[in-house]
Amino acid sequence: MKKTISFLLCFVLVAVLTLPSFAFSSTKKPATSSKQVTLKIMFEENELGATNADFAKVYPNIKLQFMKADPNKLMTMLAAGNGPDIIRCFGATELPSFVAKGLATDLTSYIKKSSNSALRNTKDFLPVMDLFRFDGKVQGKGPLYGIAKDWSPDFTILYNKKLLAEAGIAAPSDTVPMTWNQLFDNAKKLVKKDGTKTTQWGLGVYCSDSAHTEFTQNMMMMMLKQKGKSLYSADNSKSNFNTPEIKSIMNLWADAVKANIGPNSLNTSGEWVGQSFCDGKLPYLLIGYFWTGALRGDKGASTHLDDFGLAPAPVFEGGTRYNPTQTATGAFLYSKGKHKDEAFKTLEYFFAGPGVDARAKTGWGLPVFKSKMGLIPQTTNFDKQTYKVVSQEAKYSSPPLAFNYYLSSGGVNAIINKDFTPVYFDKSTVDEAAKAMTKDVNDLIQDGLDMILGW
Amino acid sequence: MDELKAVLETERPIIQKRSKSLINRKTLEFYMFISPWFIVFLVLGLIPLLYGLYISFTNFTGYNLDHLRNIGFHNYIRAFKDDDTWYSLSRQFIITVIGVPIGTAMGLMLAVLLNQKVKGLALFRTIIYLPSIVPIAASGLLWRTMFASTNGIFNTILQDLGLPTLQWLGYDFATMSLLIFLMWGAGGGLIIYLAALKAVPAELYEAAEIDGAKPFSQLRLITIPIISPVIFFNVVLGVISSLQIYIQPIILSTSGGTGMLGTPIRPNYLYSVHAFQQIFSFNRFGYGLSLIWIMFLIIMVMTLVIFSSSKYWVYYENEGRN
Repeated sequence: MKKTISFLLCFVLVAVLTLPSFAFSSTKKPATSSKQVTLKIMFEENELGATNADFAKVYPNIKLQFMKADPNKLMTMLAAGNGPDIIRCFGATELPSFVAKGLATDLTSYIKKSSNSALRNTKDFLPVMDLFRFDGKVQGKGPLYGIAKDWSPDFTILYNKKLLAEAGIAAPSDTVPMTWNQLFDNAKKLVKKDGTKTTQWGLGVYCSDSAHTEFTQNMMMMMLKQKGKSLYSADNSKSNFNTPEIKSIMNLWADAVKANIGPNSLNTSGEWVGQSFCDGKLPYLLIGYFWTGALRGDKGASTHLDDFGLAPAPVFEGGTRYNPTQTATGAFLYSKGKHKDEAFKTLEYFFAGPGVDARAKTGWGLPVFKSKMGLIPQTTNFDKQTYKVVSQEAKYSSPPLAFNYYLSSGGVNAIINKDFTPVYFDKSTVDEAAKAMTKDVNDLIQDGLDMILGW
Repeated sequence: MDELKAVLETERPIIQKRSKSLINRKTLEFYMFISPWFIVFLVLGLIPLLYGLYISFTNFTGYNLDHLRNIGFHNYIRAFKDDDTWYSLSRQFIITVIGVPIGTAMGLMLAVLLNQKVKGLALFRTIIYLPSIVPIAASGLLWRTMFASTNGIFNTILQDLGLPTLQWLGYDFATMSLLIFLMWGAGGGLIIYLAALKAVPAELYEAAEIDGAKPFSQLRLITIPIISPVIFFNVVLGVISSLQIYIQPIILSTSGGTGMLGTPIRPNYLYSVHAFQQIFSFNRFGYGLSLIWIMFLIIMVMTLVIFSSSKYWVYYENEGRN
């Protein structure tokens, strides 16, 4: 009797452990609009402006499962053939790569029959929406594969007027950009130390998802474009870090790091530069317009917004003004999603419907529709000054940063961190780093070519 | 007697049949009892391992499952030709060779100290064991903040003492900082060591005291030999885990923000970090998995070496000196 009970208990235990796996079958037939459909969205609900509750009132048959955007999780889900129906991506750096891998859906037919006039009227799109176009070779051309949520010219400079005045440095002009040399020279004057400890940095930078005032991929692409050059060959099959233009940029940043104008690998800081700026401890912060939203929302900074201002992106002497977005966060429909009609309705609602107005009013980024630009905050003096500068900077946001769709942006960042960081510690030279990065990036391009062209 | 023999002859097949039935039943019960573990091991352990081995012979990049190609030993050959592989392997060995002995010695010393009769013993044991249950990501961020050159607590203390500050996460001290972070969790083996110390017969210490043996001699000649099987167990586990460390160097790296795609500074660019980056930064799943399988073989070899060395230093009471 005891043994029979033991046997039954074991059987129940095994059943409990294994049966739930059969519940996650994804072989459902595409549902009609009247049937309940559950969509997986790789986006956080609080990013979208409108709420899931409001969406449910309009589309009660569509249930949304939000999940945090994570590249590793996305790769795992795609590898398992269980990709999200709507996938968050950066138009600037990621969209062409997803299209080249066959993961994104062409939205042309969906937009044509869309009930949303803002989407059908493509003339109302700002040029940033073109980041979600790709014809297989050139980003910015071809069909639309996704919709941008918002964007920002990402190389503007936020500044603290009080800290500049204390150092006897004039506030930047709203219309004439500083040169890179002026910015770095001012930043050096603004650094304060107590013995060997830095009590005030001169310049904080947020670029390529790094809060170090260092040479990064996106900064390099932007500065190279200002010099009229590109890292990659015309067909994206080769990179070359050994050109005089790139080396001059690398030398500029190596000197800036060694001069410790901002937190870097030589001198790390436990504080996030964005918060340091909100706390009034940083004179310059090179970051997108979107950070004005953080200032408005910060308990301390919001009480004295007139102490802050926004300046145009720096430029080289004799160089071209250029202030692109590093991201243009948006989303696309997974090409193998099973509920594309419902997924497009969801995309429409959050990216071209009520979500757009709500987000624009927070000032956490610019809308992608010309007709919505007026919703950007323009109440306080700070709002008016930043709106004036960013409207002007938006004209210099095209063309997009010239990323290579055979590469993942994370891969290039990893190579730069590996091969260029030793330069800061005098363990390598700019020339050696340039050779190493050229080799490593070209190896990565070759892998990308094999993957995409060798289907 | 003949009658007895006749009965046995008649009954033998029945007895044999009943014995076989009993054995079969016991066998079935055995497999039924281990089936939950075995099924989980099969589904979540062995099958993914073997699938990873299969992928290591392909060109898998995370997105091309529908267009997978067998590329033979290409990934393994690439691993042997890759300078970063050799460099990162050397750094991983350095961490292991330095970290495991120090960690083992620290764990043992802490256990010996906590085996005394002092007030507040339970509190001390809890405090010392606590670091090993704090999530690695949280503790890594904490240590990174403490090691920060500016506003980090260590440099703040050094500056207040009038001493020069250090670049804790720079080239010269990055490995030392990583080892400090790893040693913070040395109390993890405490429970096992304490159990082993409790099992040492008290009469041996009494006899040694009578003979005039000092505490250190008692430790060296009684405690360590008797608990040597536990030390051996911890050394083996320590080597296996040390050869697979990758989260700690990545979290300590100052590039990549708080994500897992940061590149550690060169001295902390360990083999497992190299494998992790191949998969998650460069999407070279096949290559990364081949690196992991090479490490599996290295771990097996090192474990066998340690096992074969155990006959010289591990004392099993029941079997005498091995």
